[in-house]
Amino acid sequence: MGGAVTDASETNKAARLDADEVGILLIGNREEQDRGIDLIDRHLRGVIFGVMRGVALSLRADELRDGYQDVMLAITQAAREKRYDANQPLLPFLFTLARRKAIDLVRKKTRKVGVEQVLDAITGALADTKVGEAWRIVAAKHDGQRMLDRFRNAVVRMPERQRLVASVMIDGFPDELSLQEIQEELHRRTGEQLTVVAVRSARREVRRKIAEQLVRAGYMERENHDDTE
Amino acid sequence: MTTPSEHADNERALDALMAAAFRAEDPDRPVSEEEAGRLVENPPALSPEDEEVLASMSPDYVQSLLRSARADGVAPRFEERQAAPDASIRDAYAAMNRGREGDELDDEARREIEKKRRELLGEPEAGAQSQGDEQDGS
Repeated sequence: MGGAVTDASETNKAARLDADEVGILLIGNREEQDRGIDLIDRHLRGVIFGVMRGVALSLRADELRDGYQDVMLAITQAAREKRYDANQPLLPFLFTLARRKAIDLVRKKTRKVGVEQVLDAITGALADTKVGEAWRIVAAKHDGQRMLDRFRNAVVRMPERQRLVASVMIDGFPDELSLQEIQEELHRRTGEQLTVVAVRSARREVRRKIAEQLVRAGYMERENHDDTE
Repeated sequence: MTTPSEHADNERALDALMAAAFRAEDPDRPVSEEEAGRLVENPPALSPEDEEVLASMSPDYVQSLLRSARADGVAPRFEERQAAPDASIRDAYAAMNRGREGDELDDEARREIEKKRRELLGEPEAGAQSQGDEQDGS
């Protein structure tokens, strides 16, 4: 099956992984450690990729793979040097480690304001808008987390150019970047020189796909407007 | 018909929701057991390029790298990393146990962020949630 670890059967494999057993293997002899590392690699590779992608939207896929290597190496080192703590639950530890590795990689590329400021800005941006009105219904139905997951998945699955534009917009928020600023930041990150027209087209698609999630979930009607952007 | 001004405000609101999907939580927070379980049951989405990279990796990818590094240094990245002290394990444990060294957020700031996040998402307070769970018998 060539390492394709993200289909449903592999998800089930991940669910069947005995995390306690792997934790015991990691504190064993070298052979047992290798077996534990191998089990993590075979069963959780796709999940670890996904955890990292969730906080590192701007990384290229090959950079994500390098980050995954770093995670697996860190676990290996910890086992070899007897620093792995089998009293800690394996999966939360592994995913915390993966997320921190990915964040470290992203921080080399971006600057961000704090979470609290972002939350305040989100609330401000939603006020007195049709989208905000839809979101109030989402929140009233306690459907916020599910909808955020849908937005996240929609962005991650976008074609690369749209995803990169989205990542610049997300990293820049609460600043509203101009098309030229997005263009420049994309060039800085990737070396690619997109035209402003291409950036505008990608940004429009990104927004349309986010709005579509609200429409499909029944929280909002499609907007009818004169697009004179 | 939406006016241009309303349209611009709605676009800004959509940007805000997209930002919320990626930035409404403290990214340094530890992954809880409950969250880890959800991640395994329902793995996060990957980009088409991620899928391609995953498909190109052999089933014994990490073992091969380790073997290569031991044998003849074919995996320089692994060797290079092995030579350098890696603080990530200590940091991850510290995150799980809270009270991290050099942590930028104190507990009060974390509580405030969590309160705002819950308000945005329409989630009940943590205590209220666990009470509800108990009443549900779940």
